[in-house]
Amino acid sequence: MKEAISDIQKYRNQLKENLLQICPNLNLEELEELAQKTTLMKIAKKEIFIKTESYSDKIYFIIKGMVRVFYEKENKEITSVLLVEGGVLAGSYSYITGDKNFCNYQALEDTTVLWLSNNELEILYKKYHSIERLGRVIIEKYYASFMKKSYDVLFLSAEERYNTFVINHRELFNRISLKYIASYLGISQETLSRLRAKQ
Amino acid sequence: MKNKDIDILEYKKKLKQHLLDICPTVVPDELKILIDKFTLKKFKKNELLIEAGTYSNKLFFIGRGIVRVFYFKEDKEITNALVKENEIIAGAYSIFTGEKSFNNYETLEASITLYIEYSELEKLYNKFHSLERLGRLLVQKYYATYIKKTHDVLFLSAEERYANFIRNHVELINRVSLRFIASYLGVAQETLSRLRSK
Repeated sequence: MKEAISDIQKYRNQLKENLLQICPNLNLEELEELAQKTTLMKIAKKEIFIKTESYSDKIYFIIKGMVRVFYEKENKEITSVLLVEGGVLAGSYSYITGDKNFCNYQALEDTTVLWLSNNELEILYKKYHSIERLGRVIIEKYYASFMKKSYDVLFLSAEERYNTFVINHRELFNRISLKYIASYLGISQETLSRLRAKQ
Repeated sequence: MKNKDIDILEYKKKLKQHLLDICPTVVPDELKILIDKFTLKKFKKNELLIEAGTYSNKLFFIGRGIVRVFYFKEDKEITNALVKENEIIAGAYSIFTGEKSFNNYETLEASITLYIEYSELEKLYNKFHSLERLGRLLVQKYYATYIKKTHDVLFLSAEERYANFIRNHVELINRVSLRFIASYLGVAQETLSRLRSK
């Protein structure tokens, strides 16, 4: 029991470091209060912890592991986001639009997250300026990465998208099945193998 | 009072209402400080607010007129967004990624806007909590529009997309050339004509 308590403290410390990376001028006391309100959750590899058609009521902070976001279209799974430790799951379709989610969120490794209910988060937003800022910065980052991905799909060749991915996520190659990377890049697995062989 | 001053007052009043709709709890004095920072700018029909290939750091409130957002792909123009009076538009891609805009923002009618630099806006976000809140809700709202469009293109039929468009933007049908609406909906112009005659 004692160990479990010190574990969660360790994860909360990690969370504070991660959030300071995203938003460096966070007030430390306000950040501490946020961290203390989080709950630990462990997700087994392959488990889908947010399902399509659901409504989200939580924000998740990834402490360890990896999460894949995907949707199904014409019986095919399309991977739209890959997130590792330090990542925040806040911009879900349901949270932002109020409609049902159309994506599934799946752990690709045994994954440790800390979560906070949206209600709790709203209370912190109201109470603290710097937490409200954190909320804005997280959404802006989501928005930016979403737009950047759309841009890449529109204007970059498969090879350029692959090169961008290698520059930004080299460490993922050894941790994740190539079929997910191919799907994320919007190319076939054969093309991905060909591009890898070129390197 | 000069005409221009009357315009500013009128459009600032509209802007104030728009921002209050987004964030009803904003502190009135802080909202006033924000609105005072906006500058009036008029555009002729078919003039560019933001040109593709340039950096943009501006956020516009459209007081009057329509702006079309489009990009070129393989020599074809694709219309991304159609934004009318009482809405906000910004070079979000350029602001949030730090890269050049790939979209052109062009007026389809003579338009009147109020604008502010995003960096100016961020200074006010830092200074006032209630404006920070407004900023968060604003970016959430525009992000929502963006992912909703992505969702609709992925999962709705042409007919459903058209029905949504009519529900939300019926007045645009008479103000915007059908080829832009077809492009925005991702359908051929013939398909749009068929849907309209239904």
